[in-house]
Amino acid sequence: MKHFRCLRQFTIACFIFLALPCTSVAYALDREYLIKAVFLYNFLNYIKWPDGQDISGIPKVKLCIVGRDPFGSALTALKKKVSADWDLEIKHIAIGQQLPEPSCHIVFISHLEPEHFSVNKSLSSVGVLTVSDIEGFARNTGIIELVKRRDKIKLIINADRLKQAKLNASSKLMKISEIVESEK
Amino acid sequence: MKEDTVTSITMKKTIQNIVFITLLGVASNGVSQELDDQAFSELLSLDISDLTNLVVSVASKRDEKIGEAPSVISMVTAKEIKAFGAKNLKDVLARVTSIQGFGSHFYPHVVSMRGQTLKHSNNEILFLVNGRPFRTSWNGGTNYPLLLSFPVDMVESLEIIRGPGSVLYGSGAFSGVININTKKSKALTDSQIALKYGSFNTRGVVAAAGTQTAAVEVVAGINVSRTDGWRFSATDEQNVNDSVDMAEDNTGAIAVLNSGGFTITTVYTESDVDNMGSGVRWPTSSQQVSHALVDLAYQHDLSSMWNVSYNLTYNHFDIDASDAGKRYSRDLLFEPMLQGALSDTLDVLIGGVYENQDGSVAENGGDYDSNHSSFYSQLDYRPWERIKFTAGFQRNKVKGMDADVSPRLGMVADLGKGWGGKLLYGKAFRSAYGTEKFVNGPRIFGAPKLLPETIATWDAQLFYQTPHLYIATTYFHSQIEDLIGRIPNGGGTFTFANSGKANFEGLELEGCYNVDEHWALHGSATYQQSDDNSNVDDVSLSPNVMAKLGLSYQTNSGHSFSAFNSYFGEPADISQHNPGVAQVNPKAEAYNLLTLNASLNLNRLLGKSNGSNMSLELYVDNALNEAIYYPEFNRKRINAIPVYSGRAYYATFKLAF
Repeated sequence: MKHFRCLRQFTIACFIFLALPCTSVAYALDREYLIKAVFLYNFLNYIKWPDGQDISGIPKVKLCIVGRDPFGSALTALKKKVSADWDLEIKHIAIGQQLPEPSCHIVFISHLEPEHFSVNKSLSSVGVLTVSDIEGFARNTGIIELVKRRDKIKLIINADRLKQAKLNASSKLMKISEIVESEK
Repeated sequence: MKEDTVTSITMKKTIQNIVFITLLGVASNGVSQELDDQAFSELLSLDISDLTNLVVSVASKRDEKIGEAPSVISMVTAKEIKAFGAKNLKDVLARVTSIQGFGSHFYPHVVSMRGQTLKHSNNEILFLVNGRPFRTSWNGGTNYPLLLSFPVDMVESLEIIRGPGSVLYGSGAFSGVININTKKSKALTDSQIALKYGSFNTRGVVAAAGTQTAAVEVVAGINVSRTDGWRFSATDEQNVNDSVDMAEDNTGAIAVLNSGGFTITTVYTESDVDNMGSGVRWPTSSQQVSHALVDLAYQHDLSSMWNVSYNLTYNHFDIDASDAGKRYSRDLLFEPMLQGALSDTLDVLIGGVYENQDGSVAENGGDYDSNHSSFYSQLDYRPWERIKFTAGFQRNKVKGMDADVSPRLGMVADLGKGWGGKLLYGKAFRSAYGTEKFVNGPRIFGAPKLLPETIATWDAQLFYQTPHLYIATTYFHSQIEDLIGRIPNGGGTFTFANSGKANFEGLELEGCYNVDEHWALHGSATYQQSDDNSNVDDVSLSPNVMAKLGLSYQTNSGHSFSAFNSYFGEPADISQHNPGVAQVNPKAEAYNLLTLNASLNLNRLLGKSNGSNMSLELYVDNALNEAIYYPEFNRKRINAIPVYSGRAYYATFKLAF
């Protein structure tokens, strides 16, 4: 084939062309993070905050995303959808930045930031539900881990840290989740 | 100027064109990233325990994310179809990466993939409806009733898998697989009716409805359309010039019923079209084709990790051509399949097919009744979170012939920060169909001992994906062996035979960019070349270059406007295959197929805030009024025939209640 050598060279050029702008653009996988956003919404309904306060008693619910936001437009859509019921504030916190006061109700750290959250660093704080899809998050660092198994999102809850944060999960949430303890 | 120099300049220009398109930010009908408001509302309404059972991704036999599936896949969503408009499924597919829509003297509506236009019977792409094979043993193709009559409004998404798929889908998944996923009742909460009218006295009606109770979910849709047809004018093999209006009568319907673990899918497509006849000779012939599918499926979860499914699939095909008589096929297959996980890192899929094929390729004789069986298995191994390996095979056995094995190997890597890559190898086969084995003149003769033709394809893909942008580039190389073709006997007659090899190689760029909630850009570019074992280039005659670009805009008021242009380069000249070809018609040249679509929310325009939803869609086909010809690649005795209408206008009024 006369042209095939040219085509192969062109192919290599195209792969290089595509590889050049490999910068740190936020990474999200549409439906997966859409489902994860809906999980965050559900946590608000299945968890009671300190002093037995449920979400209906909180005037402004703060959802904080630490580092890069993998949700795309899902959180904005979530805020719009729930606006009739409660005021959801979505705050983006840069790596290294302090959490706002009063603190966030839910802090989400995506798996894009694992290097910033070493497995020994506890994020537990009273009244803050920490959620992530970083592998080993519940066992090592935070409270709820969203883990993908067989193409479904499953929940892992660290019951010790949940208790330390003075949060109370409903029996239904505990029943559908895998319960783990902190690494000693 | 030396031929090589000319070739080099042509090549450089081609490359310059593709690079230019690439730099414009082109890509193709890839994964739709835009948030679907209705789907999101449905997710929010789910109980948290239901959420944990929700499959994250779509596509392929095992539900997989497009970026993770061991195939090169494009997806077209209902939203994109609505945005860009379409008369039928063929229009939608012609916008997809590496697909071209055209026609032949006998089959006026054909689609090909990656330039692999090897038969006008179009039997190298396998169509599936909700994952079930819509295939006829008569000739494996003749898909135009599906292309013309399937109710497009019932399509939830189209999954287009480029490259071999025989390991999971059996015979015919050769150049690629097109799976039509139909809407569920949640997407059809309102009953819909649409009335169409347009150029060439085209008129039609489409109706769709769905309902769900605690026990049963039912969706159904029907499309009936008629057209007096565009003016087809050509000179035939006997140097006779004539013309005819390409009238069409199309009827298509689908109904899906779900209850418990059972699903019944029924599809009916029928098309009555005019053509130049099997001999490319005036006067015109007409051909009525109907193809129905009934699939009974049962799926049962053995545990949270394992499930088993059983499918009984019946394909019923009839063809009645005025110059060739009535023929038929009746194919019944049974397919059990088991899938599950052996561990957190190892998934397995095992299945088998037993099929009986019964048909007739001629009114007097040419009957066949044969049994086929196959066994397939696929393993997906994920040793690390970011890398998945796939290995699979299908073993096929046709009575009286040696068993054949088609393997599949793949590696899919998540490279981080939105980047991913795939390296795939797959082999596929296409068993000889009834017509190729048993037809007995007067112009064509079959060969009962034909071997299956096989294809082995390498794909290497690199992709980048963010919430708003998807871009991918794919290199492919396919080698076809034991190609089933027609060998001339002299005196204008042919015999089917395994006639050698063909190689295809190409590069695809594709992507989509959702600029914001209003604007979206879709596009693709393909460059492909081919040769055969005697070093004849462009063996399929398909154009080397395709480039497609579409832009859509949606207003806050629910109106939408779009334009989509598909450029197809100049196809190869038949004279390199048949130096004596008669240059009797205008040459097949490069063309741009531009379509325009506007969808107007009549409720908003009329200030109506409640009651039924009304919309008006205006569609302009071939807006540049190009004269589109394609080589007469089947018999190769005349240079070209017209394959598309000139500029045409269509209006559709839709009511949802």
